[in-house]
Amino acid sequence: MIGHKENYSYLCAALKGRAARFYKWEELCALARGDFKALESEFLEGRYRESYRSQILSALSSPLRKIELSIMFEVTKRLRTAHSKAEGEPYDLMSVVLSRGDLHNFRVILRRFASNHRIQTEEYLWHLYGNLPRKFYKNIWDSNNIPAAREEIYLFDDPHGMILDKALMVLQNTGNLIKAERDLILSYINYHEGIVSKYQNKNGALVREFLGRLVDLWNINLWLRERANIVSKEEGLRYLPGGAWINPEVLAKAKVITEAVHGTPWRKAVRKGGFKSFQEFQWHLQSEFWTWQVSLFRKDPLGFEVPFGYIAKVLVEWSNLNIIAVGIAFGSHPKKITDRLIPIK
Amino acid sequence: MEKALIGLGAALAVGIPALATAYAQAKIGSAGAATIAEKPETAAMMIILEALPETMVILGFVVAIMLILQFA
Repeated sequence: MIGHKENYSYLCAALKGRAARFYKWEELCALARGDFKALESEFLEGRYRESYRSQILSALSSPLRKIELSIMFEVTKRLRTAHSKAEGEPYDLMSVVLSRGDLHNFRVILRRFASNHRIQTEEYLWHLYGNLPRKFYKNIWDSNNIPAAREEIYLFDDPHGMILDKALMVLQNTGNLIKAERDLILSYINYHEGIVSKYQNKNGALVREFLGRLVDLWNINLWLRERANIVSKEEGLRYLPGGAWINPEVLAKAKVITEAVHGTPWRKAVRKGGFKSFQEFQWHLQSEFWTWQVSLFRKDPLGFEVPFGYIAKVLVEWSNLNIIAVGIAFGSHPKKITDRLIPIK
Repeated sequence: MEKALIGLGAALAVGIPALATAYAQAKIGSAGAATIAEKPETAAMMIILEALPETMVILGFVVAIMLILQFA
């Protein structure tokens, strides 16, 4: 009764009331089976009509780009609205979970500077539901080199931006993208664990598990990259500490992945994925991660599970609609498109 | 002394359920406000749910009256 300021009862009820706005699995499959015209008319009349119609009026880009932009704007609006309804503890915890948008953007920026590749014609579809605004990302994206980008970060003077700065410094000094990414994840986790440490209850523990699972994913990916010879062991990359389920020492010694994931939630991904390819296995891991988060939406109606699950549902819908739009635009077979969707049954 | 204990018993019989009801109604009330904002058609159901915990105080009140009438 007495503890941190919170409004879970209001927030969870408001978010539960929005559950009907999500596409059902059958509806997504039907969209995947249709053509691009059917998809456009769904966007014109369906749940994304408001943002799609504003794209028709304002943008001069291709039909696919209009759909991508309208999904991005609608998702950002939904997540920002949900965040604005939270107070106290859920607000802080949602900030941590939503900062995954910043993490996604940071990784894109690192890759842009590692490969020196930049899309000149159209701006990248930033994940703008995190803590940093579009202007921040745009200025960094437009910087000519790493020192100029770091200068932009200092000018912006935001603690979240400093997470990227450290990783850019590693990239500048070593030229090694994976080392820079390792530093990025480590700084990101350390910064947000500081915020979550205020909440020593089951809601805080849930967000700590989320951060731990991010570490698990990175560690498993590093293990896979080493085995696929994408990264050599001589590079001296160590597994990250602080994982939720995977012990870095066990992972380092594991000859096959089943040894490392035995008795953890990740074993489901191994069972489903098999070992067809590196990418296939990565997809199953990601899918497992999302399925866990989405499943939380139906748990404790007065806890952080509902807002956490809601965020995941919104982001999964973004990913699934994007896969459908791109798949149809490039003429993929409907079965191939539905196979790539993250299951939300 | 006996009368004082009876009075205390009656006060507790009303007071404790009243606190529990207040807590439950606070949670249901805020959840109800959010639900009605999202789905106005649920208003009638929310009023019923908001009133349900009230039964705890009514029962406590009945017990308190019985205590007082029995022993006073």
